[in-house]
Amino acid sequence: MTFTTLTFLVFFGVFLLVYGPVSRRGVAARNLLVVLGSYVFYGWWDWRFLGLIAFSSLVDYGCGLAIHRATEKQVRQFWLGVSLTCNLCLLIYFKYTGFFLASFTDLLHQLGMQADSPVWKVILPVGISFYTFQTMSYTIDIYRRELTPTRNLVQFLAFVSFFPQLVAGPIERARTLLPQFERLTPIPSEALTGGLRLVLWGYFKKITLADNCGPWVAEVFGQVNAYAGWPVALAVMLFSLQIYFDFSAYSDIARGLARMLGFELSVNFRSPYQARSIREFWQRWHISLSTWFRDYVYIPLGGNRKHSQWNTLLTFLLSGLWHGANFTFLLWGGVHGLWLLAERGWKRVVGREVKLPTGIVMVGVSLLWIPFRAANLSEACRVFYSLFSSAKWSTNPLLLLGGPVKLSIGAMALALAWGMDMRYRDLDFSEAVAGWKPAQRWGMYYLLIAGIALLGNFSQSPQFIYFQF
Amino acid sequence: MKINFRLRLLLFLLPVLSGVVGIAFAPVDPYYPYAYLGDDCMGRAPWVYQRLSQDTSTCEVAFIGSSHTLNGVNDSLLSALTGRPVANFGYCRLGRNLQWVLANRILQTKKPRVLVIEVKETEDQLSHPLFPYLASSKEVFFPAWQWNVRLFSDAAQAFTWRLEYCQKRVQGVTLPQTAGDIRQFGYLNSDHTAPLADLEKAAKRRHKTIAPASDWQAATTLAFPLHYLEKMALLCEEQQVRVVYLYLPSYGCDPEMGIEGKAWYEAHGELWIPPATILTDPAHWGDDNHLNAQGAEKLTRWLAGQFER
Repeated sequence: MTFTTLTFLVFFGVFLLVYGPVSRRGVAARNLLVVLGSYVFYGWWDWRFLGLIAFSSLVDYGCGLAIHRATEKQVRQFWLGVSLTCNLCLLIYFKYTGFFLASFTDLLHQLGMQADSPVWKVILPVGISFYTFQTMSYTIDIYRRELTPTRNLVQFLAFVSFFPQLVAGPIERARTLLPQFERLTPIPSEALTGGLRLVLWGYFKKITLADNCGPWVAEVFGQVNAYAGWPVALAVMLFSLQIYFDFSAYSDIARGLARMLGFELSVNFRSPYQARSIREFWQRWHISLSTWFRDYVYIPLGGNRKHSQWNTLLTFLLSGLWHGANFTFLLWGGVHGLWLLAERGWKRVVGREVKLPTGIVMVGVSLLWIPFRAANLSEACRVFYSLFSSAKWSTNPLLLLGGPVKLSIGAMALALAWGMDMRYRDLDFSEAVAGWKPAQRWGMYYLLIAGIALLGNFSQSPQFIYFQF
Repeated sequence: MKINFRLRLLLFLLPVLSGVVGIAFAPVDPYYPYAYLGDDCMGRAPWVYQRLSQDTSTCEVAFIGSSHTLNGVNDSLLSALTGRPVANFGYCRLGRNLQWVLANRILQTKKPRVLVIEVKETEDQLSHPLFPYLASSKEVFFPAWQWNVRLFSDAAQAFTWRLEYCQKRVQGVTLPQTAGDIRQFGYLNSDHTAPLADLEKAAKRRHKTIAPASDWQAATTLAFPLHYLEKMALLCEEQQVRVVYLYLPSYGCDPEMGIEGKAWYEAHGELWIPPATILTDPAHWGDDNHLNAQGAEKLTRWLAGQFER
């Protein structure tokens, strides 16, 4: 049940109808409804996933209370260890076992030993990387005495499974989201309007922009040998746009839906392609994940105090691995880490921050999306090679992207989204248009709806890219 | 404040809803939905369009039903045997609402004298997956609602392809041209004979007594298919077209085991039950659902005899 399906719209409509009257019965009833709704939402993919999320939630709920109650450091460490072990074991089992086994078999082959690669087929539960990180931060914060655990199980279940952000974030911290489940505040009409604005903007970015970039990207990455030169460069740039619009659209819709229910989720994107350095890019891209790694990996490793280069590199490698069990993600994370280190080195030598033209940063980031998008390292190498070869194509990109009218409308839609990013670098769409005159706002809403209606690919609406992580 | 917000939302949504209604009921090139289905069911949709809208030859006897009819009735042979023009409009998969759509068009364009409607041991209760594509806006947005679990998904699908049609018109995409040289075909020939073990396995699975539909069932779970069957029967009555219900079950079903809607069919037309020699001979089946060429020939010859009578 993804946000762009009719099933979800019906689900959310029914949920919203029930939500108001139930909320009037008190915070407990509201939270129970959120848990039920979230479990229906999550179980729609596969009901077996429900056991997993319930298990993960119960373990962290219990560990959180145990850590809080314990006075001795060893006991507190023990319960934290239980929580982290359970979460990491789940993550490793479902996400990385196949990768480790295949890599181990490859290694044995390279050492000249005979080994059959075991078949490892486990369905990856949707959103496991997101909610596992969310619950881990909960127990770590309690261990650090930065958070008091909740005694209310329903509240905790609602915090872990809250459906707007369950499958692809933003990865919320307990200290910001959990208190919102403890109180019941009336939802002002401004919140509803703001939520609807974010949802509309998200749908526009996903359906109108991201899904129309996808076909050409899939065509080129699916048949690398058939293309070279500018068609590949076009595919790389389009993927760069696709992943941004796709993921930021999900985050906007998630924030909008949550706002309509009276919750505020953290901002996940702030015009990342307007960044003038890779450091700034990471302050604007998938903010909830980069701050998670900063707070729970980089700083505990020593942060800037000692071995900062190694800490940075290791953090980025882990961040790459978080995205998936593949050497391509390790390469992606590793090179991002090296780029950041190079910028720091520049700052030490020159004495000021790197400030590149935004276009240069975007091209660099786009090139690094190649290993991220490629199925394996050899495919990534082929894409790099064909990128710098003389142009060839088996299908004319213009045919796959649409005729001149569609391309013109698409270019206008892209210009609109890009213009908003340039003009309002640090504001989300709702905040940006809040200061406009009503006629301008309404004009913009109708423009977005027209964009969705004219360019949307509804019959084969693809999944959000980050669902696979 | 709340009323203000709701009022504003309603005002905002009015043009959007008008657009939605406009798209849902905007006129569409009649060939487009048939072409949109392309190769579905061996490319029959474009052929159906051509046979009904472009082919000027008459059709005195029209068969409608599922793939049982498609594989079971050799219309060319039947034409030759009876001397009457016959057309097989069977379309893959079940769903009485699509058959109503086709019957309606057939009666409008070809004015047949006999309409033969396929029936099975039980009535299928679901909407046909292609109903949202081939039905008119009125038919699909105001359908029979009784126990129709695909009510909303049908409407959503119908709206989706209409929206895509509008997108193509705006984007200047060339729409498929009308069916020109589609080869003539109605009946779908199959020379394969199913392995006996497979047929016996299927027969064993299907061997159970089927109770005739009760009034309660007719008013509830069977209300959806009966609604469309009734519409077809009424239309035929209006246009003085003879209605025949042809029993074409899967392998292993025996009329002795019962036919769920038997009483209803007999009250609204004639029920023809092919002899057991055709339906029980394993050599006549391409798989446990469809007759092969040999079975179809036997059935067609028997049908010719029925028409002579």
